[in-house]
Amino acid sequence: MNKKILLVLVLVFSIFSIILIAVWGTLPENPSNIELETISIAEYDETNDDGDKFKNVTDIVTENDNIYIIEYTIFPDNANVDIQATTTAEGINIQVDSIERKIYVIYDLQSIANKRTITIQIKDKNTQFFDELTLWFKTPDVIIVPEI
Amino acid sequence: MLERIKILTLLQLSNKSRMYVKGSKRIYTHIAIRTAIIIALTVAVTLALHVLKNILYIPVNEFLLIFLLMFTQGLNIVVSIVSLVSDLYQSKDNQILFSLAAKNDEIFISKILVYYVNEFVRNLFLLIPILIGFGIISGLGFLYYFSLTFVLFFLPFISIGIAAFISMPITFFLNFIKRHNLLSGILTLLFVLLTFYFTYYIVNQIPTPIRIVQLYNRFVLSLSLAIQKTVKFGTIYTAIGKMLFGYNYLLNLLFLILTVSGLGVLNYLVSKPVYFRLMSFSQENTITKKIKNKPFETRTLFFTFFKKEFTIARRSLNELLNNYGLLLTLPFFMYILNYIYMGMNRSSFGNQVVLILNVIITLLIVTGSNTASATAITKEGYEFVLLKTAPYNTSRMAWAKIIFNMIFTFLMIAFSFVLFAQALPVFPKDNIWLLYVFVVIVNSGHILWSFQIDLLAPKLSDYAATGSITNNQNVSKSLSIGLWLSLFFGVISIFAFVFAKDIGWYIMIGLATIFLLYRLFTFHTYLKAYFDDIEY
Repeated sequence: MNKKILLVLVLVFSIFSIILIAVWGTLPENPSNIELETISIAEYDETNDDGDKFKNVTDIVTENDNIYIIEYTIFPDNANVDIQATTTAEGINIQVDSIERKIYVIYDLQSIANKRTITIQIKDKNTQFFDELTLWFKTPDVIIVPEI
Repeated sequence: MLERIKILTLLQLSNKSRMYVKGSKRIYTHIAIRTAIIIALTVAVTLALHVLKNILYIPVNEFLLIFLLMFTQGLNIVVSIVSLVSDLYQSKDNQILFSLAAKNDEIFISKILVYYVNEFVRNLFLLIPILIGFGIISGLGFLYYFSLTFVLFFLPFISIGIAAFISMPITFFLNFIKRHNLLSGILTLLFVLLTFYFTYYIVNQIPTPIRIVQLYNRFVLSLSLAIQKTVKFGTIYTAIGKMLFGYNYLLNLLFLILTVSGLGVLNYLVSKPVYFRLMSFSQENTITKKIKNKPFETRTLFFTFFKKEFTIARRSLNELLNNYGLLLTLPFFMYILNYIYMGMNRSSFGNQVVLILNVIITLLIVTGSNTASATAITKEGYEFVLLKTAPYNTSRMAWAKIIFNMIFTFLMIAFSFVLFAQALPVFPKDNIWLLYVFVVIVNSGHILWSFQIDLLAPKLSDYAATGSITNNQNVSKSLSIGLWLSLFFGVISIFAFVFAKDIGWYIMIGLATIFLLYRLFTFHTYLKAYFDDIEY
């Protein structure tokens, strides 16, 4: 027995104690059963004829700042939701912060260098309601062509 | 000059490396074992990165690699600073090397080269697994693996270059505080307070009420974002990361070569005028005592010994920290754990469990800090024989040592509890101070018990021969007894706080007092019976 082993024991016991209280020492959860009516991304630059939302990320997403944050809103505010964010693009990682209601879109260096256009879908798994936003590196004089 | 540096380097390398007889096959076994370790580590890192990417959904991209480079090299720099301060300025071989026909800067360069060789070998076990693992997971091509070969040579140069440069002002600072003990004590206290404030700030970022699953998700999210954002501050490591992925390849390669050359020139130019001076002031025999204090005559023998304990503590702060360092972690453990406990929506049973866990964890840490008493007589070493020849009742030294240990630990525990009470006002105040009283009583009993262990089996000759208490059985016994005491009172607290909660604290403090009185009686008896019989 020495002090290092004792310190490890204290650490292990501390983690064990947190689990112990979380499992047996807490009150039962009381989740709200209010159903979601709408989910929406408020911040975008323009839409095409189909109503798809677009955001120009040139000068926002750079090789030194590779994260774009999408804020979303839900109604009613206390609705019981299970948010999922997805994209089909490669080299993009998405993290959801359901407390702050933010989606973090993390680009890799290759995606920034290739100025890859990506579409993010935010969906509530309980109701299947969703909204989408396309992030692109807009070059001057580009016109959005609607899907036929 | 180059010839002299080569000889000096080989001289030191042969002294610090494992040598094999020429033609011996053992060297191949040595290389084979190390290669197997590197391969095993590479497989482990590749699996870990796979888990990060596909299970924890942490982005495994260029930015993660840059972060890993920053993290590992940052640690390397810290370790190198500590080692270089010792190797360059405090090493005993300096006395031999400086007597040779070589210039100061040649010795400096040779020492840096020796350190580079060792650092390069050490880095192989760290960098190869990480970089190859990353290459496999990200499916990278020839240019990446080709670049790895010279990155492996350059990275130790950077970390050693930075560490060698920083080691100069640090050595100057260490030499300064070595002569100012009070300043050293104040700085240690400030460091503990600042660390506590930092912990307080970090822990307060956890949103309450705490839900463990949400807390885990938030931790993974914060970790991912922190990894991606720190890349902005990576400077040379960001350039290396981008170069490895073929981004502005030649520009980043040029930046790397310029940085390595710049660090080399900077170290050479700065060390040339200061190295010898810093080295000579770091030697033990350069300490000169300018003011001679008049000997102070104390009225009683007890105070003579008591004063001696303070003098020893003041003169050897490192040893003091070694003995009571664990106690410094008490406020951190208490605050972090109780913030999490209090942050959860607890049932009334949960509140009782919180008290029980506080009893166990606090006792575990506190009783682990009484090793000074478990080696009190042992540490007297050879001098103990001389001490006993004095025509006084020298057993009073035992009480002086015990009182010093008690005062010091009581103050440290009180400091922890005050910080805890201030930082977490939501925790019931009555419970905080009743826990303090309980812990102080049990700890006093444990101090007496620890001293008794050393009284019955002091390792005077071992300590006199080695000057070390590593693997000391008395320390081991003291820590084991502390562990069992914590568990024993933990079990008692289950009964006291769950089944008899109205009188819970009376039971706990009552039992602790009985324990203390019993230890006091046995210690006093053993001291009277055995102290005079202790032999070297």
